Amino acid sequence: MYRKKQKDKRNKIIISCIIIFCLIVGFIVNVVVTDRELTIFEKAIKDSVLTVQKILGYPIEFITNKIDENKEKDKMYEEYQKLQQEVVDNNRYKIENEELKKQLEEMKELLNINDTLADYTELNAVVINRDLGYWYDTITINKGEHDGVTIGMPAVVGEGLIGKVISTTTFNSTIRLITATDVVDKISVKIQNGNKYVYGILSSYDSETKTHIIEGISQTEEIENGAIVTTTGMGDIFPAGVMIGKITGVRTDTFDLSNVLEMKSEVDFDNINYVTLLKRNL
Amino acid sequence: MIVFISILSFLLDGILSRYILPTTLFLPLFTIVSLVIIYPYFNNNNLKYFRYVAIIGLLYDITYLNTLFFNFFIFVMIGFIIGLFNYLLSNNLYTSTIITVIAIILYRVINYLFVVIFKNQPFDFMNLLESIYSSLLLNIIYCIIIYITTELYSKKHKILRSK
Repeated sequence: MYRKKQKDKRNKIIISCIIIFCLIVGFIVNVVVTDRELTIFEKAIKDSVLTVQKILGYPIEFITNKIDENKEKDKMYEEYQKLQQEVVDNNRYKIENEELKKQLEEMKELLNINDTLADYTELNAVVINRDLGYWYDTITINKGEHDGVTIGMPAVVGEGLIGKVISTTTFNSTIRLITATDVVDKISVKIQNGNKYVYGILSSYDSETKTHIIEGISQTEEIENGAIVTTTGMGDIFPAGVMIGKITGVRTDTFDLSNVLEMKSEVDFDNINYVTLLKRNL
Repeated sequence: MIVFISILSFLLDGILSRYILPTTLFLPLFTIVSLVIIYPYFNNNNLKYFRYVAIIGLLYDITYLNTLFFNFFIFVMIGFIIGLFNYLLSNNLYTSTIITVIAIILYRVINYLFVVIFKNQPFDFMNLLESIYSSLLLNIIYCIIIYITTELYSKKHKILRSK
C-alpha cells in the first residue's frame, strides 16, 4: 500500500514536470516565432542598454570613420571626376522629375485623388546592432516610437527594399530582413516585362541559392533574366514602386501549373549601415 | 570584477556586431566567453552562478533578440556544462579555452536546432558548421586575453577563485 502511494506520488511529479516543461517550451516557441509587441519593461531595458552601448561605441565609431576617410582620400580625385559627370546627368533628371511631379499633382487634382499607392514620407536611421543569433536576420536601428516609427514600416536602402519593422521601443526599432527564411508576410510585386507589368507574390527566400522566390506567374508570360522587380503597393505595408531586385531565373512549380521566378536583390545584406524607413501616406 | 567582465562582454557583443560582417571568421560571442571566465570567481557557489547566468541570458534575450526566456534557458544550460567541466578539470588557461569552444558549439547547435524545428528552415549541416567555425577564432582570442588579464588582476588584489 505504502509502495503504491509512493509510486503514485512519483508518477504525479513526473507528469507535472512534463506538463511544466511542455508549457515552458510552448511559451518560448510562441515568443520566438511570433512578432509580439514588447512590454514596457522590456522596452525600458532595451533602450537603456542600447543607449549605454551607443555611448561606449562612439570611440570605435570615431576610429572606424577616420580609417574610412583615409582610405577614401586616395581615390577622391577619380571619384570627383566621375561625380562631375553624374551631376550633369542628375540635373537633367531633376528637371524631368520636377516636371513629372507637377504633372502628377495636376492630374491628382483633376481626378480629386489625395494620395496614391506610391506616396510615402521618409525617415533615415543608422544601424546600431546586427543579428547576434546568426539565423534570425534582424537589425536594430537608432529610431523608435519617439521618432514616429511604427510596427510594419518598410525599410529600404539605396539598392532596394530590405525588410520591415517588427518591434519598436521608445528610441530603437528592430527590422526583420527579407532574407529571413521565416518571413510570414508575402509581398505583392510586379515585374517589368517589356512595356507591361506581370504581377506575382514574393513568397520566400532560398538561403542556399541566395535568391527570393516569386510565385503565381502565368506560364504564358515570357520573362527575361534581368527584369526589374518592384512592389505594387497593394496591401497595407509596402508602398508602390520600391525596387526589390532583378530576375535571375525562371522555372515551373512542382505541379507544372505556373511559373516560379528566382529574384536576386542588389542589396548587400551583410553590410547595411544606414536605412530609410517609409511611411505610407494612405 | 564579475560584473565588470559581464557588462564589458555583453556590450562589446552589441558594439562589434555593427562592425564585423556576418561573412567573416570573427563573429563575437563574448557574453558566452564571459560565462566561462567568471565561473571560478563564484567559488563553487553554483546556485549563485546559475542565478547570475540566468539574468544575463534574460538581458541578452530582451536587448539583442526580442525573445523571452530563450537565451535564459540556453545560458543556464551552458552554465551547467561549464560548472560540470570545471568540476571535472582544474581551471587553467587551456581548460578555459576548451570549455569556451564547447560552450560556443553548444550555443550554436541549440540555436540552430530551434530555428530548424520551429522556424521551418531546412537543415543544412554546412550552414551550422560555418556558424560554428566563424565564431571560434575571435572568441578564443578574447578568452585568452580576458583570462590572463583577470588572473593577473586577481593575483594582484588577492581575489579568491576556485582552481
